[in-house]
Amino acid sequence: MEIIMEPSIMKINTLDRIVDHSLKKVPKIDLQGVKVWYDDFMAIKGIDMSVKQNTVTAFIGPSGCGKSTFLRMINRMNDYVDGFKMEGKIKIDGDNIYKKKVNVEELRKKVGMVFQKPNPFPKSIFENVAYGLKIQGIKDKDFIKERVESSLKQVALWDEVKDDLKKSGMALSGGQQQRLCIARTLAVEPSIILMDEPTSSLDPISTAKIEELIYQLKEKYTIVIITHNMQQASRISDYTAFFYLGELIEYDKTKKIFTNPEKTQTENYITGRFG
Amino acid sequence: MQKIKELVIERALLASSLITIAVTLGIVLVLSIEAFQFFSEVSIFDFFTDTQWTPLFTEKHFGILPLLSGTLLTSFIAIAVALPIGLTISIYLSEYAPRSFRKTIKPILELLASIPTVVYGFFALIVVTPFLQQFIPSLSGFNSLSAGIVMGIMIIPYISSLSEDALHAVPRSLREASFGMGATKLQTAFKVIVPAASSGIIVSIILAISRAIGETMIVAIAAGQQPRLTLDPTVPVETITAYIVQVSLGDVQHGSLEYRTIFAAGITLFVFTFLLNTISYKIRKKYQKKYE
Repeated sequence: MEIIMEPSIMKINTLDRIVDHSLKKVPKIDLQGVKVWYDDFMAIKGIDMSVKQNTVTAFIGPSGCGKSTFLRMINRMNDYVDGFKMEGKIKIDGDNIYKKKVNVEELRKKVGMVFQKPNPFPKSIFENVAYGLKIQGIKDKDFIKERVESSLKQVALWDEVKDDLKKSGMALSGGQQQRLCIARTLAVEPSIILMDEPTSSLDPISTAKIEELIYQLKEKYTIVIITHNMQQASRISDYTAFFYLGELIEYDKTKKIFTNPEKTQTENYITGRFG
Repeated sequence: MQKIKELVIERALLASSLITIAVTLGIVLVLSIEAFQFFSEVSIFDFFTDTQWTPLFTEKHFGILPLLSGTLLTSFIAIAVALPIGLTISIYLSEYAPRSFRKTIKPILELLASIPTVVYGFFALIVVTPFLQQFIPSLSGFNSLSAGIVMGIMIIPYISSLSEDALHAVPRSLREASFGMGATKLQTAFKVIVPAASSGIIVSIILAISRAIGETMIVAIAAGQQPRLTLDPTVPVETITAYIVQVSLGDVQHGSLEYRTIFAAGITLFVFTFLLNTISYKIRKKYQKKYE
């Protein structure tokens, strides 16, 4: 994966220049006219959006606004939902992922996902992280070992668990479990990571660790995160999208959304006046 | 007044639960006493080592092994039939089938278990055995093969239904985690869901085995009544249950040694099914804790 690092990317006050610059490139994720139905219910009412590489984009909005559905469109997790129908195009690196011949399994290796509740497999810590590699048919034990170690190191869990890799992943604390789940996702080396309220079931200390992790992961991955925590969105994201009733109300740089939003609906939501 | 009413109802409820316990204890007691008297005349060593079971002949032998082998052979054939079919059905219903299909097919499958076993027995005797004889000419009219196969069909719902419950109880989040990492449905089913539900699946298999060992009518009708120490599925055998039927229906004198053999056989059967049920209960208790 190509890593584009510009010195200015870390400085929020010079973000304007990056936006102009990256507009000339193909966006990492490009969603065009996305509409989603569950049976007769229209969950997403036509959304256009593009997400840049190596950024953190936060999805905010009241429960039931469609942000989770929208997130799950990016790795086609809605495919198995009964009554699911969609319209529009979602392109990753320029390729429409909803084309007929797309291999969904391959797509999901590229677009990892971390869920709201930590969901480790009832397997050992090692097997949890190795799972993604093993289902790809990788047999090289040294390679798997190395990848497990490096993934656990990336989420700063290695020092805590290196002596009990054989212990069940479910025996860890909630925060550790969530970092294990992130490590599991990283082990397959995706380029995009989708996170659906990854800290909502964690205590403040575990939450701080995950937030710090997200900040570091941005260097290598493109991250889209759903959060109900406004402080969290403003702390960790570069861009923020506000959804309401299946529509994208406002999408801009996080700083702009939180200091000077265009729409009053956005302002009302982030200041806690509704939702 | 209200308090007395409450008290009466409470006592009545207690009494009815005590009755069940009393009946169970009574059965175990009678079994034990009669079996004890049997073993005062026949040595336990002979009972477990003698390879002949001929209590109704002039030359009497009291070796349980032939009955045990008949029971285990028919049960093994039944499990060999029911396990692959039942597991396949459960995985299909839980992981692949549309919800509406699952809702209709499950009760229909469970109907299999509610067909009277005497019907199964006749089915084995007059349909399955003649059919199998076309392929295995040496197959005798009574044999453990067709009895076992038909018994296997009967216990399919025990495995498919209970395993499906266990598979279905695996949290959706584990499926999503696996799909989210690029696993196919097949990989998810066999590498995540089945291992996660393994204790429930094992319980279903144990209950099915226990059902097969205790099954009476099918084997009494279709497997024959010849106690024989053999693993050959084509010849007539006799199971513990079939022997008990045979003696109970016959004109053996009450209180005689021949009469007491059914209690010795009965307690052997009871020990087996009791052990199996205890194991499955233990596993189930452990399993219930896992996702709470």
